[in-house]
Amino acid sequence: VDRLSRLAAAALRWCARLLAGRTEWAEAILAEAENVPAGCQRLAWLGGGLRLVFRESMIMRKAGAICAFAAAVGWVASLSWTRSPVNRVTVANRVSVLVTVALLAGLWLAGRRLVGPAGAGRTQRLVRAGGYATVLALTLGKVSVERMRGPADLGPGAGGLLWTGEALFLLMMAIFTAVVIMATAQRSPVTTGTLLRGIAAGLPIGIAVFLFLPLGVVRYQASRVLPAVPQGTLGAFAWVAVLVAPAVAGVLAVRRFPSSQALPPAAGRASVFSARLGMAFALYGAGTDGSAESEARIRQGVAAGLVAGLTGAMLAVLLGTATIALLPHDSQLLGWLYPHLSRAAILPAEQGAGSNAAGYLLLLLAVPFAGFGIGSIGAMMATPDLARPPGGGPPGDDPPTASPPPDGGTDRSSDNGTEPVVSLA
Amino acid sequence: MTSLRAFSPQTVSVLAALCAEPSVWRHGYTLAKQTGLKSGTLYPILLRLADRGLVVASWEDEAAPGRPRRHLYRLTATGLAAATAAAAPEPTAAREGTAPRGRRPARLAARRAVRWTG
Repeated sequence: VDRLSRLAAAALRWCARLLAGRTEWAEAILAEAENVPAGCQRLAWLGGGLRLVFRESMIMRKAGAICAFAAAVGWVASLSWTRSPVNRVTVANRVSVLVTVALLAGLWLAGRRLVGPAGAGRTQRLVRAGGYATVLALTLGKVSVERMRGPADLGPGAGGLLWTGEALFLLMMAIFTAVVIMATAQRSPVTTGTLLRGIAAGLPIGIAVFLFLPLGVVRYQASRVLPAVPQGTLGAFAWVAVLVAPAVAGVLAVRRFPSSQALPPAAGRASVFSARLGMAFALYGAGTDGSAESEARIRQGVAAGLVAGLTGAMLAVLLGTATIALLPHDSQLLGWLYPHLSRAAILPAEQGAGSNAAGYLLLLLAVPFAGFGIGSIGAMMATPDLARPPGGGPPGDDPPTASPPPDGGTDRSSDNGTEPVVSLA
Repeated sequence: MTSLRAFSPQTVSVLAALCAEPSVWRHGYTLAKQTGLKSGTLYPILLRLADRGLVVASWEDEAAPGRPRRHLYRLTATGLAAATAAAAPEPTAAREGTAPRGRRPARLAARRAVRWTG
């Protein structure tokens, strides 16, 4: 038993380093163990210390997350590596899968250094897992769709376009992943409320754009996703969603942002970068008092717009890509989408859909950019200090000062994702 | 999502042990013996209480010969208020059924003393 106790003490001493910033609690148990009677009691005492380390370091959760990620990557890779003939598209797809996986892992590691690990809140963990799942699902959908490309995409001269498309796709996946990691990190400059408002605004964008363009970026009049609604109306809905939703998210993110007592913690270079980028894009010449609270509010608005655009674009492209990928396998879906085509005419239509899916890259680029810009404008309009003209302004036109929250500034539950989650045993 | 959560019986026992002599610094092993809790239960509770400012932790100034310095614990003023409220006996009116329905005032005060998120 004494030997086991010595082993447990050594293990506890070694594992204490897992408790970043809280190693003193493991050291306290170790120090106290000297006062516990030797034998089984001391061994149980040290075992309790190991239990504390495993619980507080959340090592099991981290191991579970890594295993889930590895399983998802393995599943996507196995589906992407099926017995397809080796041609230019196949090679591009395999490279795309490998680079996407490297991006997901690399950005996760880089994010830990810049803005810390994932936040302790359930929302942040769910959003991060959902973001990773979206990237992997979109990669799988893209691989499936590109198998349906026609011979024109495989001929000489098509390689440059193909690789340019791959590079743009990977760039957008990197931007999306980086935003997900930053927005859900412990030292994120974005509050949980802002993140949720951006996602909520992005959902109608994604659905509206998908209903308008369910089979790629093409004016395909015969699709019957919503048979009773004319295509023009669907287009108008999509435009309204793309233009209005990020602005609403930006305005709400600014207005619901708590007072200066609840500013999110600084996130290092990434935080400064995002604030400067927002300023440079939307606030050029607008004038600002430069206060920390104004910058933080603007940052929330810009982030909400960007998250809305990214969510909308990813959702629309994911739904559209999945629809196209399912075409050869689902006869019911086929009859629903192509009611006027005979079976013999379906193959060219499928091939057309595969090529049209490449147009989704435009959505992936344009919608987040629009969300970023419109969210910035919404933030600029909603931030009171920025609306004040230089030199003061007319009497009585002062912006309303932020009143302290009813609980004296301690209640940050709705808008701050950085609050540690604690519970009593 | 923030919610109020009651002190667990184990936490109440730790608070009660610390509250008995609030000005005295206690060792972890002493608390474990007093409360009957194992180290794997006691220390997470102390850690949470310290996080919330109810308990202050400190290392001994000088170590006993041949032994490492020990970690000491004591209630803060807020912790004392929370512990007193949590340990307060049930009001007579409530026992007799004349008090308004709902949570007991002392427990409620203790719950309000600290917000627990979950």
